[in-house]
Amino acid sequence: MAAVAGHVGIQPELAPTDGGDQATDRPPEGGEPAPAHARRPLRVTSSAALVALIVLQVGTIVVFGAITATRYPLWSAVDEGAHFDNVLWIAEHGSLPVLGRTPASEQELAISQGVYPRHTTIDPAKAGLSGLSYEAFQPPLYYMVASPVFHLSGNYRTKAYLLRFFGLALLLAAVALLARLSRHVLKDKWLVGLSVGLLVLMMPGVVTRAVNISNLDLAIALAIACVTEMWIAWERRSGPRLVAAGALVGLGVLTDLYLVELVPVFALVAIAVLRTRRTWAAVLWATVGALLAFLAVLPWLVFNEIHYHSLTAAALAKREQLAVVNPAHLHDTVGQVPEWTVQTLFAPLMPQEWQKFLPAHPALGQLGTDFQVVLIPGALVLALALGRRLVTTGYWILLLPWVANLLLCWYIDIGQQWLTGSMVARYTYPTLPLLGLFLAAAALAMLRTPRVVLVGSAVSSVFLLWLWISLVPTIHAQ
Amino acid sequence: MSRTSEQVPVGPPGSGPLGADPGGAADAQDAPPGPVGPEQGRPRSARSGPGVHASRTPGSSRLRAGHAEWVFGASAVALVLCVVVFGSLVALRAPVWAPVDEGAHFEYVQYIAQHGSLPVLGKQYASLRDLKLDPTFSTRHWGTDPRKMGILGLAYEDFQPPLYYALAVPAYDLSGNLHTKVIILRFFDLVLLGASMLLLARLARRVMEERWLIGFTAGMLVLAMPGVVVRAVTVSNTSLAVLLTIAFATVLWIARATGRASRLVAAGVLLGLALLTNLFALVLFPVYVLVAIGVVRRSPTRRDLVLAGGGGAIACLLVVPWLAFNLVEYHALTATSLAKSEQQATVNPHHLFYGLGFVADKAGSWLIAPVMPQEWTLADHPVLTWIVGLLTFAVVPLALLLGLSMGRRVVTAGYWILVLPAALNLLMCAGITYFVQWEIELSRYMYPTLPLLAVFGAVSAVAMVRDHRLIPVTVALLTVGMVTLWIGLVPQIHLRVAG
Repeated sequence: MAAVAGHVGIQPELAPTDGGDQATDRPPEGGEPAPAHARRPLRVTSSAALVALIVLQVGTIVVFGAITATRYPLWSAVDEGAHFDNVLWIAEHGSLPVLGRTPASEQELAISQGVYPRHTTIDPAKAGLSGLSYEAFQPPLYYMVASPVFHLSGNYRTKAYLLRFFGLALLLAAVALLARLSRHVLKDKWLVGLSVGLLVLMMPGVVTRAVNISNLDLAIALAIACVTEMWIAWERRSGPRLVAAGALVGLGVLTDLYLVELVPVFALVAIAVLRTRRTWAAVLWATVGALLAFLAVLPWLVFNEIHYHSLTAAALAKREQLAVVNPAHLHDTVGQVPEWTVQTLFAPLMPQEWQKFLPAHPALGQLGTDFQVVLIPGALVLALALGRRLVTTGYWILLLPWVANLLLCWYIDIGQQWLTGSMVARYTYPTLPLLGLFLAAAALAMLRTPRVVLVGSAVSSVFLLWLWISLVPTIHAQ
Repeated sequence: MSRTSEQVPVGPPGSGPLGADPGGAADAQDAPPGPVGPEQGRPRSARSGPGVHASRTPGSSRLRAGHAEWVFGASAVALVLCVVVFGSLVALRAPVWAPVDEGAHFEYVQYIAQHGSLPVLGKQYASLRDLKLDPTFSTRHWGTDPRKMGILGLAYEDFQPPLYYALAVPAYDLSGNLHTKVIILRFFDLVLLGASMLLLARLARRVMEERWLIGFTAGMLVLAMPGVVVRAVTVSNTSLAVLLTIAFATVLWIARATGRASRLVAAGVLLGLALLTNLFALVLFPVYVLVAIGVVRRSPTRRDLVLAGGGGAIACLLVVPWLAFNLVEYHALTATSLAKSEQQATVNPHHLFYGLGFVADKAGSWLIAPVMPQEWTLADHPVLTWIVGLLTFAVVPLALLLGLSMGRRVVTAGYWILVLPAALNLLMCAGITYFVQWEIELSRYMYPTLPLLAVFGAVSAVAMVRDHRLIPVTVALLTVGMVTLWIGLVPQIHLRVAG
């Protein structure tokens, strides 16, 4: 094969460019074909180096994810115990917990007190927020999916570790889904996109939150899967894919309410498909997709309506958490949004509880700042420079979820006055890998050679590896 | 190598004017969809040349170039205004004395003006009149004998090479009032910084030809940084060092590009003057040697050999009188070891050992974080802090990333002349910290070589970016960031640093 002589990739005309389906070889009606850069195969050396880089990145996720899962004390400061309670309740009672009526479990309190398997001396009724199962307002999908894992052991401490490794498995599933998305977006250059997207999944913030028990673990994977279906639907102007995308949006919202940010993306993709295919069939597919999304969430909404007389229990949850999150009842103003945004949402590298690590390590801190500058402002600059190509290339599908995520955080902060409860970088983790992929795609479209992206990705990976190695001695310390 | 191939290093031959897409790649992206054939898969550079332009719409290309030119022009004007306006504000409003050695530098100028000779480190003390210019100075606390005031009473910058101080004497003599003298010297430094801007434009023009505005704007992003403005405007040899480094690099670039050895003589003179201004200019010496070797190898005539050697000799000869002075006064070529022992009590009172970890940590943080002056903090300004992060990334790491991606073109096209001084500067700072155990890993020591690195960043960006909008958008945003940062800093220019 000619490709062997100079290229590792299969020649474009022979290549199954979207994972086997030849339909993507056709340019979408009304859209543009993938840019020439996306079709040009990589050199052998570049591909080999990329594969090595990706192996390094995935290895980093697995190794340091496993170390964090085993060495990080139970429970993590960021609500891990309350999420564990949700899983426990569903697994042991077969029904959803009710916020305000479900106390923290005996076992969770005993583990947090360090006395398990003996009984806890904490009285949940007198323990304030920590005596409550305060995450019971969350949508239930993750907790239901995690129930079988919960049953794998009889020891509650082991159950917690099993759930952490379940989170790591979900993160690896997100890696695989990101590879699939990258393959659809960047065709022959998918390895480049994957390597940049993996930088996000390698971040200590993402890995730590993913291996801690929470619904975020599933939300990351679902957001990527959902956007992949939307991309395919947009690229092929495919109605049936809208159904799959709609179903995934529903499952996403049933996992994490923040994934409601995918609804406008779904709507815009559906409009783009309908503008090209003005047929009743297309309208039907789009409607069925939307309906599925709604139906997936409906039972949970009904449950909420019965128990809280409201579609969600967010207001009750806010009231419960207010004493901890905003004890002085401060009022956030619009003027504070920029500083909160750059301080927290634009700084997703480290988990909340390790925020003090970087200032104590000046060189790592500087590199961390640089990394975050490339990831978020860098992507925004590229989006600005893309201009209308942002729309015609479809890259907006990768960018818009993160933008909607940001807007949602602002709304919750200002509109709902949930203060620090919403302006936290971890809430953007499901959409950040998409932003990483957008960064790669936009950079490839604008640069003469992918070498800059490759070098940037390699340097960033080395930095993240160095950061992880430096973090190891502190993982066990709360 | 012919002048054409040497002097048009940015983009393929036949590149369009400012900001135009040289390979026509952007146009290709906007083109209507069509079948993907072998031609489309081929890199654009393979068929660059006049034919590429023929396939483009001249009007749209001119329009884009016009837009980009406007953005670069507006950004350059905004940044020049930043330097002039905020530099003047710093000169007028920054407290006397600026915490980073301004008083000691002033003492040096004063000594030459009053005695007509160089001061001798260790024998010269600060004058009480000068110390009293600082309204917070109290004789009740410090006493009246400078010998008993520790480093405050020492003229501890007297070990510096003398050129800047000698040049500043006429400005010093313009007024009889001590405070006015300080302000005049600050404006003298601002004028030197202005001259650096002109020289930067010349360097950018030489390196990037018709796209010089991109290089100039990138360099201006360095010269307009609060750190550079504050250090250059408050009395010190930094402003002259910046100017001479840019002038040296320009002449050296021309020497390499034209192959004219006569330029090496001018470069040698500038090198000597730079060494006579700031000892850190030693990092320019290897650059001179490498270019001289390159020029001589290209046309190995006896005349060229003499001129190349002559340039080096002139550089040395210019420094010889000062070295002789040092030998007579200190029995050493420089008084740095004496300066170190004088400053030790303040800089490193506990005699800590600076290990490799410390050196790497500082090099990775301070040296590549040059935006803010040491004495200004932004602890309560998250948005400004974030802007500083953006500017820091754009000036150093981005330039290095793009440079790394250029591969061997950095060597073959001569761009190393722009990047090597900064690299050697970094190594020198790290080396002095580790081997001499004198902690100088501070970004201000990088200021003379940073404008060159910025021009290198611009060259790399033009070479690497094919989109016609990305560079103007980035430059415009960074300029807005810089102006915002300065405006945010105005209220604290007059503030005195505690301690």
